[in-house]
Amino acid sequence: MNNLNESENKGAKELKAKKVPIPNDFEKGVVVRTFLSQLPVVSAPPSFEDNVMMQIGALSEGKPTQTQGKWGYALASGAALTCIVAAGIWYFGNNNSTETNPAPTPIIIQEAPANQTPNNTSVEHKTMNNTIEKKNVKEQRKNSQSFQRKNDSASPVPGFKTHSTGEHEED
Amino acid sequence: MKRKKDYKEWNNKSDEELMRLLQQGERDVMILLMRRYKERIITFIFRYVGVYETAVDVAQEVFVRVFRFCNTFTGNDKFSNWIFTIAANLARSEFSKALTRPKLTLDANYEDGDEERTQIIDESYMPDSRVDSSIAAQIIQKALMSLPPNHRMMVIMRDVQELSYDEIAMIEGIEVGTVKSRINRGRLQLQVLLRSLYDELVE
Repeated sequence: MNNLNESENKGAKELKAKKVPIPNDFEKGVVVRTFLSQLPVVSAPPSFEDNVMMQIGALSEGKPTQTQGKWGYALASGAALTCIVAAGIWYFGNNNSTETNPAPTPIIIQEAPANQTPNNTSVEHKTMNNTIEKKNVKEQRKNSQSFQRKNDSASPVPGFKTHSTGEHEED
Repeated sequence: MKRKKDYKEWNNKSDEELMRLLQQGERDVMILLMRRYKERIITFIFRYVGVYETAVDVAQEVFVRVFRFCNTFTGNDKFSNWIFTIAANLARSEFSKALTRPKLTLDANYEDGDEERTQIIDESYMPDSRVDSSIAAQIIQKALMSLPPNHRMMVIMRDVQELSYDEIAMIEGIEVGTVKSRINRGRLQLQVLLRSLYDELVE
């Protein structure tokens, strides 16, 4: 037991005798860290909170509530996608039909002679149909041109009209 | 608007509890979170980017993102780590954007025969005396700005914000060893840069 105690004491003395090496730049390191920790806190401008809350308010208007959750997002995005696709199909469908195969309008059908009977020959039918179709095409073109003329003053954004200037009114 | 009683009640709650309330739709909780963190976040970003206005803008964006992505906060981690991660990412991207911005401006000078004059912007960092009123603070900030961005970020987190090595490792998503070595390198560079201040102190 005594031997053990003596050896422990020896070890402790040796540890005390050995100095822990201190790096040369120890003091500099401490000073640098002190400098950094003493840097002043940067204060926020007085309108900081209001600005953030305004931005949050603008965001939350378009944000679904908790109850809607992810399903709400999914449904909303799905509906938007369907709308876009439907609008695209409608647009392209319309463009193609006016260029290639214009459908006869009910007004022109009324203008067709009432005494037309099924006794007429097929050749006569074809010529009549052709003339009706040509008329339709012409009318549609006229309509579209007049619509474009009307819309010249309109803004490029659909659904919004530009205010006419005073000069224009005078003219 | 919330009553004062609600704010008092919320004041005793932890950040994580406030985040749970925010996730349940209590938008006004953001005011309390801002009061707790705005100065720390602005200071942190300012020390990194060096421009007060930019720091305030980025800090605002940080809080807006806290609100926008509050549902992604799981609560397993500390809120402070989460918000500092957002702040560090935004500050870093803002700083890199500022670096890539064109450095030449065309300044029209109509007095000298309608000539357009090219003005080269001084790229060296100018200290913001509104924030750092003392000369020592300005010198330290200038020294910080001349560190490489990665080292600067770590040194600010450790020595200015007093975050632990583990927290920094978590925020940056890197090993603790890498954090320690970067901080050490940053401090060594600062020792060289701040020699004049040190000599003044010793004298």
